Amino acid sequence: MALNNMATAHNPADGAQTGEIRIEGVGKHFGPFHALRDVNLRVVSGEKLVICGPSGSGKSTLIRCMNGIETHDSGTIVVNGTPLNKAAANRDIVRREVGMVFQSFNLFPHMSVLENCLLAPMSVRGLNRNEAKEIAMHFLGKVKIAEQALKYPSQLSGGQQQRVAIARAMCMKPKILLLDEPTSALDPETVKEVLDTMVGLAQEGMTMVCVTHEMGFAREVADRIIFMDKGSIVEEATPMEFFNHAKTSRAQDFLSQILR
Amino acid sequence: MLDFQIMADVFPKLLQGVGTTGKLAILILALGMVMAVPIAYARNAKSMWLHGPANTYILLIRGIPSLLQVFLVYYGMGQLEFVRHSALWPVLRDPFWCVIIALGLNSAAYTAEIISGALRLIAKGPVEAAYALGLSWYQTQLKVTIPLAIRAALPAYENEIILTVKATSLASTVTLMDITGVARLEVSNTYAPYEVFLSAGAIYFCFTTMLSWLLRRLEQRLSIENLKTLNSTPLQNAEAARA
Repeated sequence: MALNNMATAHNPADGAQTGEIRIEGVGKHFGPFHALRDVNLRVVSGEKLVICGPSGSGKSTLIRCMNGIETHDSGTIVVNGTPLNKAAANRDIVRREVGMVFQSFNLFPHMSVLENCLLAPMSVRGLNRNEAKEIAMHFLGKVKIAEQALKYPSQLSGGQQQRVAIARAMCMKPKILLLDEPTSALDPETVKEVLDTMVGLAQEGMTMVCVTHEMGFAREVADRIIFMDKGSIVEEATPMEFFNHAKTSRAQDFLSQILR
Repeated sequence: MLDFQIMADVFPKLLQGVGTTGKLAILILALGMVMAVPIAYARNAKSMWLHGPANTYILLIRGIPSLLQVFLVYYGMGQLEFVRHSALWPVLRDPFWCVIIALGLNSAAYTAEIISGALRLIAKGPVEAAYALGLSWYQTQLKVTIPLAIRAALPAYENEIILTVKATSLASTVTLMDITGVARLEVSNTYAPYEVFLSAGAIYFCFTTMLSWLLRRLEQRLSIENLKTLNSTPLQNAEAARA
């Protein structure tokens, strides 16, 4: 299986240096609602993982557990050798190495684009303004939005805001990038510019976990696709296998609805 | 009708009270704001030990007339043995500080309500993003939550500022010579309450109007929605020109 091939290519014991996530037996409830049921997942360094599934399947919850934004109720999550548990220090370590891009961009509305990108390197890594500015302009250039550096988020389109959000996450030089439906809130015309940015990042070797409905992106970039339904992983396959020979009926139903 | 001569005579005397009114207002607002932030966070806290006392405090202050609160501090303090014998007595017997304490505690309650509401109102998204970037709780409050809360709270707080300026007139009931204190003195000298109190009212009105205008300008500068119109892009300018 693709998973085993991947696991031997990158030595699992090296989890501390690379972008690896280990999720074992993870469960989560929101009150009476069982959001995650016994999820087991391994993300290896350099892998591009796409998680898809119907609404309420737990895919957003799962990805938000990976950097401690949501806390899991049971099971273990280990990111690059650091376990996510009650210790706040561990959570801080994980968040420093893991970047996140949200569906609703979540830029800081009271700060300019540049200041959005400066905040974390200066506050968390302790860089001075000039050093942080170099890094910020570098990544703003990469997402092709450098000329808008002094604008405020409310003056940008959705696609531009999301690209800024990607640059902001990249300024912390994360080992893993989590993307929670990054294009779901965008107009179809602007989806492409964001997907192109994401493809660029993928090609540079970033470990990415992406919750998305963009199957074209998944086909092009993903090493593995995870299909979730009702809180558990129902199917796991390479894009080729998943789109052409989905094994479970739930996956097949989902695909027939998504792909016209 | 109106004796303008009396009004002209009394104006300069009333203006002497402006200093006291101003000092009272500033110190009351400062004390109120400093106390309001922790009370607001306590009000929003999940723990009963935090939001219980905070809510009780706010309820009490809002339920008792401000005038009585001033009297309770000014007259009441002196009634307590241990206060009279404490090191703080020289401060606590001074009507100036009694008013600041009483109305400061009062302002704290209303301001805490405003801040507490603003904290609940701001979008959770950017705050989450700050945590995801690795910022600590303190850094997030300082750089993201509180700036956004201030912008959300500004209109309501402007109201509180104006009300506080007016509330300082209560100081006149405990011998202080603020604008109203001077006015009452002049009334007893001139036997012309209409002219004197009208003049005093006019002075208050000028100050509060000016204050309102300044605060409105500040609000516009900070407002996130208005940033669109403050820094329009060349494209926006071109489109505006065509429209």
